[in-house]
Amino acid sequence: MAHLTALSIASDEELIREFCHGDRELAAAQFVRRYQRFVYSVAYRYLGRHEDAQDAAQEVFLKAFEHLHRFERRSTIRTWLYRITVRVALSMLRQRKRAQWLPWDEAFSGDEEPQATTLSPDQAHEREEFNRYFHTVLSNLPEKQRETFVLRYMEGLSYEEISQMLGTSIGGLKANYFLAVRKIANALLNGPYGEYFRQASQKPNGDDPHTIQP
Amino acid sequence: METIPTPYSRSQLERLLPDYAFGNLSPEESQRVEKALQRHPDLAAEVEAIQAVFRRLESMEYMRELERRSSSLSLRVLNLWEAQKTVKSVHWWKPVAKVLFPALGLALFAVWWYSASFPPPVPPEGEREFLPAAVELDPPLPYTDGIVTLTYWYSGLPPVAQPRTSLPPLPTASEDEIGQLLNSLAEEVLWSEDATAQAP
Repeated sequence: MAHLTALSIASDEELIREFCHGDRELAAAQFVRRYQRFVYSVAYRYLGRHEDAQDAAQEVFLKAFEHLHRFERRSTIRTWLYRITVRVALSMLRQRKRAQWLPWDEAFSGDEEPQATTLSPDQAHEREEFNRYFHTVLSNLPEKQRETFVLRYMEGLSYEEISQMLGTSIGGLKANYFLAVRKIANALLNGPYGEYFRQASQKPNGDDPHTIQP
Repeated sequence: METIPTPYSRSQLERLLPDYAFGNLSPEESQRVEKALQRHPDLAAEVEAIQAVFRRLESMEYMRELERRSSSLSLRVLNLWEAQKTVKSVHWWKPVAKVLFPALGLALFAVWWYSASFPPPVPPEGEREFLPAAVELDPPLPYTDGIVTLTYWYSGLPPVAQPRTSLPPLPTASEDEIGQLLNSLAEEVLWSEDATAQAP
């Protein structure tokens, strides 16, 4: 079994150097730990099922290990991984003939893992339900808007990096980001959890909640 | 002289709204957006609503869920990687075979092409008896025969060298002629022995 020893390699450059010429295993462990959430979340957005996302992420990292020594540094590692992940996820979708995201009932059958949090069972269930709903909200967005939103808002990437990943101009990305944020806010305010979100957007003086243009 | 930046148009303002709402603009840009929002109260209200909704969304920890789900990946990936390396080292011959088989095929093709392009000269009818000794063996060596057969099979040409069915007759001599030959040989031997003995 691979051993995971703490290793702190500051930059991606150092990580690649260590992987190619130094302690391969430790560098690989660090590499996966650094990008596992990113790769997993991209795969999950495309595949819509945690089991599939796990498989895809594993395949992505194995492919990355195979080709890391040939990484040309024309983009960042994250951009490179993003492209591999999308390719792997789309190929998995093609293989499984799932051209669209799975409905949640199907998507979550049998791949539940117990929550390792301090939430009560009710709270945990509620949160689980919300996460499913939010994933549906995301999945209903056009792909470019969804990816722009997730990469900018959730991953905190720069527009330059997202532009490299998606092949869209920065102006286009900003427009997509705005449309995505507007649609998500609208969906949350008017969906099954609307009450909860409307309370949040209630004006302090008790007036009607703020409105968002559809 | 300090230049006054032109105010944002509505579409420009919209493109900056999410970054403004989530605090990702520089202080200068934020000030410009705030000024522009005064001219578009509907967008100002929308910013407030977006901020409130996304504050709630943060508390739902959607991303933390993905983080939790992906936390065991490193161990799984490394184990799989190890296993893959072992399988690769067991099947070391695969890459060798990948090179060797095409090379063998290429070599056979080259033999065929060479044989087809440059057929060996066929001796005239009367000279066919002067054939290489190797193929005259009776029975022919199986190994040599196999190689010759294989080569001609690939080349598509009939074998040039055929095993000889009859040997040419040996010259005959009388007993007197043989006796003379033996005497002359004995004299030569005696002469060479004398010469060796007289040498200093």
